Amino acid sequence: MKKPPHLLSVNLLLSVTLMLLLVAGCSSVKRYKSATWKGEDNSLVNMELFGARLDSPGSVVHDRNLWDLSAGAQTQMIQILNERYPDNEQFMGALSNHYLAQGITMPADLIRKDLKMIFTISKQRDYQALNVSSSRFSPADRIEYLKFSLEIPPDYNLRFSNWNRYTTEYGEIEIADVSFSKSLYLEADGSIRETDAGGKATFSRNEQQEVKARYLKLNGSISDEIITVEEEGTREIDLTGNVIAEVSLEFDGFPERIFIPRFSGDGLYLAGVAPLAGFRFADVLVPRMEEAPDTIMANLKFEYVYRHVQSGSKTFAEWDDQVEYYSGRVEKQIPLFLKKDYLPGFYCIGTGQDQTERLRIREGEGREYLLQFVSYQDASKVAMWLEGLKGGAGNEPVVVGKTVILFKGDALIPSMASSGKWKVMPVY
Amino acid sequence: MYYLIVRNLGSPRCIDRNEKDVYEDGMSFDCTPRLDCVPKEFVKEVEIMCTEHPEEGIVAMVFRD
Repeated sequence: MKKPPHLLSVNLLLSVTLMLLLVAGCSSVKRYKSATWKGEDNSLVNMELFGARLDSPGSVVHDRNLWDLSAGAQTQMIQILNERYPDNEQFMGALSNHYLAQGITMPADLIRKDLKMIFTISKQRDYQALNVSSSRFSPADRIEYLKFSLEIPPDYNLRFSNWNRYTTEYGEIEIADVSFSKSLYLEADGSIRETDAGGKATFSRNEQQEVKARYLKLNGSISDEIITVEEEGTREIDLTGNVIAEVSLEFDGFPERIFIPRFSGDGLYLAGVAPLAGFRFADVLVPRMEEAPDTIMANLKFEYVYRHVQSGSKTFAEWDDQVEYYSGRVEKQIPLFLKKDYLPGFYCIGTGQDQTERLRIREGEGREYLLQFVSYQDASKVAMWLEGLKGGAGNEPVVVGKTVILFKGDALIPSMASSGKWKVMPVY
Repeated sequence: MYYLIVRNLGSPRCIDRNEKDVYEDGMSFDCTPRLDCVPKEFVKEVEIMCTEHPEEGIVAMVFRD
């Protein structure tokens, strides 16, 4: 039997409407099928400081040549060199000489440090309870939100000064500021895009599956004593994995005077025979802490939201998941770095007994200082020079330039200097 | 003799000495010297400043021999 034409058109209209509704329904991307908050569970996620490295920002070579001088000083210097070296070749050579502390590298900064911290974020993987209905684990579970902070106790006189870089599994951002707020987008072709005003990012991860709207929201801040990072992953972005936080730190400063030995002759030191002509000094800042703790500890706090898939974990897509959310909060003490990482590497000369048996010096105006050096080599050269004073004049004090060398409050005399008891020791 | 002693990185240092107890809170001293001192009796604590780094106060101890 043939249907009347008006019924055919009604059927066609209904079919088209249904198809349109179906297409519209399929194209709306759902986050989940259902979601409930189940409560607190502090055991689902763990975070550890996997490793930390402390570096000094760099060192400076303290020397000068003719071209570092001002225009007037250059003219005077050239005139002096011209008088001293009439020979043209010697004169030309002298123009390239280095003056002051030739070849001596001074620590540029002993109170500023660059700290690189690798944090491992892990979730509980309880495969044994996979088919247990009360289990809080499925292979589709992920950490959806994580906020962590690292706090340095005020006793250390140590503070955060700058963010340098933050790296996650999904990308790396260079910050160079005190705060940041960025999103890392995973593009459909698998590449990752960073969105933010300014900043540069390099990415290495390739996604094989097609993704359209997956991104990781990141923001962080830094204050004197606390760094805080907040991460939120959308659509299959699991925050499990390693993150690397790179920051700059700064200790409060305490002044120290260090000495640089200057040997006469051509500046070359040959088996302890070069005479010590004098000391130059440099004032530097070292970390100011009353005590020197073996380990600098920090307080790590993290809170998270854990997305447990109660049903729907068979598919990679998340729209069919029945989700149960758990939140957690953990606080723990973690070691940041060790004493050897922050103590200045100064050396002095002494007998190896107590601190009173270290060589000090008295300068012209009567000030007395510990005779301390920036390197073991400098201290060792001076100790060998002291040993070489055998046969020196009886009770005349050992004077270097205008400086008197002291031992236990008295001026050092050659017979005492050549006693063979000197040892080079670290100051701290 | 009175001695002014500060402690940094676990190491004490005598930065000034005087025949009288002239030391008061807020005074500034050159903190780089290490003088020869014989501290025997603790007298008091004062908060001083180092002239090389005057932003922060530092706790010092006054001793006498």
